[in-house]
Amino acid sequence: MKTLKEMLAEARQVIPEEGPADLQRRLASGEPVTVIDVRDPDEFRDGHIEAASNISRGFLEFRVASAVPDPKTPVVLYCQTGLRSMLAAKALHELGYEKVINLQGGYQKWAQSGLPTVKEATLSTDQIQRYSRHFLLNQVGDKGQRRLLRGKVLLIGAGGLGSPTALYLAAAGVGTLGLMDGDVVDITNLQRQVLHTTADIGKPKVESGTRTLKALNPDVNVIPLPTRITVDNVMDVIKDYDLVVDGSDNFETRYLVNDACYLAGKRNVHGSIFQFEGMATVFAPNEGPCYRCLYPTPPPPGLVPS
Amino acid sequence: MRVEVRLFATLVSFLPPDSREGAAILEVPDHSTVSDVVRRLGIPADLDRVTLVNGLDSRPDDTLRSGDVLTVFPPLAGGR
Repeated sequence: MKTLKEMLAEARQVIPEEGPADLQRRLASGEPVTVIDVRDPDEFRDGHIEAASNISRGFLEFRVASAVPDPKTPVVLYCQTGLRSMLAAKALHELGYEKVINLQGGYQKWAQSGLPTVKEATLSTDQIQRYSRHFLLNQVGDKGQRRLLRGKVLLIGAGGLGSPTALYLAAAGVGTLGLMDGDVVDITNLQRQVLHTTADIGKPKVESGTRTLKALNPDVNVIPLPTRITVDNVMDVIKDYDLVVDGSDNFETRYLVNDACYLAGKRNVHGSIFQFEGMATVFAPNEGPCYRCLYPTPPPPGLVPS
Repeated sequence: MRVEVRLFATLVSFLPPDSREGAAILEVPDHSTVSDVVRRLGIPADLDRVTLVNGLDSRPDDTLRSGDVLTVFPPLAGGR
C-alpha cells in the first residue's frame, strides 16, 4: 500500500516539471509539442490553453495513441493544479512516452500568470449541422471550428475580391468580420461584386454586404465600417483583428495596409487582380518579406492600371 | 543562347508579337543577366518587379544559362 503523497513523490522522480512560462516558450518556438488537458470535459469547456486537446484522465491510456502518434514527441500534461496530471504523466511514461512533462501548478497557475486562455462555447444543434462537413476534415474538426468562430478578420474592400472572400469566410463560420469600404454600389459593380444586388444600387457597400453575410450565416458578427482606410484610422481599425485581408484597389492603400500590418504585427493576406490574372500572397511580419520589400515603390503612372 | 521568358498581367504587352499564353523564347547573347533580358524586353527600369529564374528567387545581376526560364511579376493593386 502506498499513500497518495508517496505516489506523487514517486512520479516526481521520473517526470520533469515545467512552469507556464516554459510551456509558453515551447509553443511560441514552433517546436513539435503535444499539450493534453487531462481534466474532465466540463472543466476544459470552462477555460483551457488553446493548444491543448482534452483527454480526461480516465481515458488517457486508451486515447493517447491517436493524439501522440510518435512516442518521442514531447508531451505536456496539465490538470487544474498539477497533481492529477503528475500521476497521469507517470502512466504515460510507463507506456513508453519518452518526454512527458508535467505543467507545474496546472491550469490555475497558467491563468494566474496572465497567459491566454480560451473558453469553449457550446455549439448549438444548428451549428453542429451547419459545420458538420468541417468536422469531417481532420484539419478543421471541432477544435478548428471553434477557433474559426473566435476568429476576427478585417476585410479591406467589399468589391471584386472582398465580396467572394467575405462570403466564404462567413459561410465557414469566421465569427467576426469587419467589412470596410467607403463606396456605394454602382450598376457596373454587379457583374462581379457578388455581395450586392440590383436593389442595392446607390446604397453603401457595407450595408448590402452586411445584410448578405448575415443572411448567409447568422453566427457571424459583421461590423460595417463605411469609411475609406486612411493613415489616420488604419492603426485603430486593425488593432481589433487577428488577420487583415487586403482586397483594395489602389497602390496607396496597398502600401498603407502593408505598413500598418507590419507595425502592428498582423498577418496581411494580399489579393490583387488584373483582368484574368491575379496574385495571392500572405505577408507575415518577420517571417518573410513584406509588400514593400517585394515592390519598394509604386509603378510609374500609366503603366499599371488598377 | 535561348531562354524562355514568362511575363504576367500588365507585363504581357512587353512580349514579342505573336507570343502566346504570356511566354516567349528569346535568343539572347551568352552570359546575359536577368536585367539584360528585362531591358531587352523593354520593361521600364523604374518598374519594381519580382523575377524568378527556373522558379527560384533571383537578383538583377544573376547570369542566365541556355534553357533557363525567366519569370517576371509586376506589382498589382487591383481588387475592385
